[in-house]
Amino acid sequence: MFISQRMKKIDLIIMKKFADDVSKEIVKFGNFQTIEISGEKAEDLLLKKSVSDAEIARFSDLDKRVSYLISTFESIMENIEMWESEEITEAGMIDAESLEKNVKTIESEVNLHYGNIERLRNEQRENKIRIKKVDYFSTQEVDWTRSTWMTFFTMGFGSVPLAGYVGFESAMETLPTVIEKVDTIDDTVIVFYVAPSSVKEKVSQILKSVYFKNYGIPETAAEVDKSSLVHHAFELSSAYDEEMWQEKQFKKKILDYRQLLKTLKNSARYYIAMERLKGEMASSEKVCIFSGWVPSKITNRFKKKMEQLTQNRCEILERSASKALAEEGLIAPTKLSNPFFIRPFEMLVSTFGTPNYREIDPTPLLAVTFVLMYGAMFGDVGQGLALVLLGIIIFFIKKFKSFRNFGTIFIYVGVSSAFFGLMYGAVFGFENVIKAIWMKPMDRVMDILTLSIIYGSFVILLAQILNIINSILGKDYPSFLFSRNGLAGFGFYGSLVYVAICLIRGIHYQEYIFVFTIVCALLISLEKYLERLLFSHHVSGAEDEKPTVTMAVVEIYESVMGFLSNTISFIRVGAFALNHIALMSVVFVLSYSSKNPIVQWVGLFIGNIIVIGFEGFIVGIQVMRLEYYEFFTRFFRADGKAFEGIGVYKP
Amino acid sequence: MFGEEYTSVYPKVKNWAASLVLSKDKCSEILSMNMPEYLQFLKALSKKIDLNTDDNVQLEGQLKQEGFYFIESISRYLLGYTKVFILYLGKIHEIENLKIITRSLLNKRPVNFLYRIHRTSRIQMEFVKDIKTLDEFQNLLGGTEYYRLASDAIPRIKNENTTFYFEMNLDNYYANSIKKQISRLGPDEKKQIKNIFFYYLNISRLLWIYRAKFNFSMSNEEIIAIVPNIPVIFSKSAYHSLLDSETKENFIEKLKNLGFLEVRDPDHFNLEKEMYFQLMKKGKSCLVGNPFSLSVFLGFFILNIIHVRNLITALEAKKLGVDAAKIMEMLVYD
Repeated sequence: MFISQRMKKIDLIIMKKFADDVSKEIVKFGNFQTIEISGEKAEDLLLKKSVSDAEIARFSDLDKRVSYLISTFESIMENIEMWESEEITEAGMIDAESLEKNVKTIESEVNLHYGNIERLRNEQRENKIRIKKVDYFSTQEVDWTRSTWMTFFTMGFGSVPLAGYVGFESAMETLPTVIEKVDTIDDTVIVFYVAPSSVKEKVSQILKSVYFKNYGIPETAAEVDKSSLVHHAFELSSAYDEEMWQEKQFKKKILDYRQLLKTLKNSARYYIAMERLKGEMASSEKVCIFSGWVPSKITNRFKKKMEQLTQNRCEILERSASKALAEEGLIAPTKLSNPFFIRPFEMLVSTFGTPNYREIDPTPLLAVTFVLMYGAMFGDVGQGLALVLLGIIIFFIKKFKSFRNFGTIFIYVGVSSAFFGLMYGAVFGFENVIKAIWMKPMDRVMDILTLSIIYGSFVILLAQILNIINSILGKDYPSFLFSRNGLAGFGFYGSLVYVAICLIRGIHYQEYIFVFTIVCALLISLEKYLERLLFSHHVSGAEDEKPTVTMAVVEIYESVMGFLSNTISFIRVGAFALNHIALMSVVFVLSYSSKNPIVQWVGLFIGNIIVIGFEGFIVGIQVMRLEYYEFFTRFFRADGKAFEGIGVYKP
Repeated sequence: MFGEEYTSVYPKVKNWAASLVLSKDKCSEILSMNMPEYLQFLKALSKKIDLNTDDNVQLEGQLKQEGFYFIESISRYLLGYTKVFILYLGKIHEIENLKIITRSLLNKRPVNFLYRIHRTSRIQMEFVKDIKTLDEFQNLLGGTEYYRLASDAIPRIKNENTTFYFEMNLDNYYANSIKKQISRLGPDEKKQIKNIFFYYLNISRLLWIYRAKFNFSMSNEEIIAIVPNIPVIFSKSAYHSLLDSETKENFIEKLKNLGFLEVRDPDHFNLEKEMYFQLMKKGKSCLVGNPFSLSVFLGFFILNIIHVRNLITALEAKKLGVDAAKIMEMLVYD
């Protein structure tokens, strides 16, 4: 908690004959993030880099093809998951050739299936059009069999693909033709046209351009005889039946492929990991080197495994992260180590950024402040418990597995809302059901707003303390000493908060505190100058700048305004608590505008759902805003890179 | 209602748009670079891809690919029908893949580049690299929305040895589908899409009309059938009037009157370039308009197409050793 897992840089030098076994073990081990040995470094060590790009591309292609099959099958089977993401294991792995062969086999099965389905759909379409043709011609009082005698006119009955219909219609309109849109079947438009023979050539050019399929004008009476419908209807229903049978058979096959697909996906990922590992190592004829980050607490386990595997014929060089940074300029990746009950909040932190290796992980603080603020802003026992229920549903229903973290957060904020509901004495908006343990916000509007601001001040002070710690850890001394969120800022803001609290509580304070405030303000305004002077840092744009009074005044003014607006921003915590009550009052007014008790209860029910949905969501956004903009931006660098173990699947 | 759903789109687009090569200074800057410098510049310029090749075809492909990634990236910040529309916009790349594959199979050339698109699409490299014939390709399209189009077109492609009709059919299909997609959007969005994206679709269609009329000598009826006025940027009568143009000059004059181009330099007139110039002006006006609107992204999407066109033109011309002043004439900038 608070700091990420400590890392060690491991250089593993082994006999080349062990390379394959070691690679397999590293992938299986999972928690090894490779560090690519550059070509230059390899040359310095008289080693060579092996090229594995083509192989990586090969297995990535296979992985993509398997993923496509999985998503296609999942869309066909709807509620059946074909594959779940999990760590790569060796279990059931198949060799590369079989992997490729199996993927091809399944793909050809899929192609064959779709080919059959398309053939059947084509048959269905054909029969539907033929039925339409009989229907169309038989209902008109014309002897169509005489149409062949016509010399001055040409006519046709057929289909145009939907995509070409606009073109067909527009082009035919330019000629003296009559067209009738008979019907639209699936993606086909059935048309009948008549045109003078003088434009026959032009008409056929148009028909060709739009892929017109001619079904002809009936030449015999039998063609328009309704009895022929039976034949087409029979053909149509056979095509439907066959399609259904084909789909059923295919679904059975899909179920048979389920296990195989898991194996294929697992194998493809395994080979990608192996090839990546090979691509990042360097080797000579006899030895090879793997380089990577391993969490410190499992380094010994890793070393033992490697020694065992290579029969102690290996050299393992360990380096702490700080040494690796100082000597090789390598920055360790971040692997957060929060207890399971805080882990869902990591998602909210990572949306902002990943903490760097040397800074404080703000997840626990976010977890506490988020839950606290949410509850204070949305305090209602009933609605809080509804959120808990929603969270439990999300958490336990398999379909929502990927939203499980949200479910957990809902449970936390729901409990917090219910707790504050008890404090405020509110149950589903009713304020007379239970007695407020603490206070009713509407009765003490000023108190709740003042408390929000005081809370905000402490959050800002906490953020400054965190920035001071982060600056020390990151050896960023100018930020530690002179920045708005460093010692100077802490002194400046802290002294003002102290004075404000004294004024609110009517406590006497010493006036000399303002001297301290002014000194701190001056230090902030001279930050860049002092940084250059004391630490010889070149601050961009400040090389030739000498501090001036105007600059100092502007800086101080900006700092004061910044702190003021940031502090006032927290007023929304109290404002939303009041807003909640106001919104529920609206619900009550609207519901009680009817005298019918059933309507009243329905109104209250719907009103509560709307408030939980909309206000619950808006409060969530506001809390995130306070966390990100008022809290995180003061201390959180968020410029780290997350640890990615080679065998650990990242979705 | 007030465009609040686009609040997160604007900063992203602003950031991406900052590096577009669409001004005279930037164009001159890239032309002053030698080839290695230019390649290095391209690598630094890319926001969403690692340009990791010196091969021209691959490099051009990777530059174009970024357009798809922009769509994917923006779609993550949107919800509802707008998201669906933006994702559908990306289908333009799938359609382009279909065209590339068909051309390659017809000419018996290997497929060198295809857009990497959604994982749910089979119309990308992994799935087509073993395909050798148009019939195999048709089989691969089984179960997709393109099967019908392909099954109608492939016999004709084989007979007439041209993919022209199929490609136009695909474009019509896309234009019709996108029209259907926007029917569910609000009136403001519809207007913005028509103003910039349909304008862009129309430009490609007008160029096809020009080629069909003056290069392939096709009849008006056939042109209307193949390139109908689907985007409806201008009226039916204006469309017919364009088709009735007897000379190229007459056609260009009418386009000028319709606001699709202005002849800035008659001595170095290039129809495509001038039309893209107008498009660029429209795209840029979208970027400086209401920041909380769909047109911000649409404008950027279009500008990116012109930007990539500039980069590729410069790349190819540089490789061929064309004089910088000549290349400058081919680029679109203001």
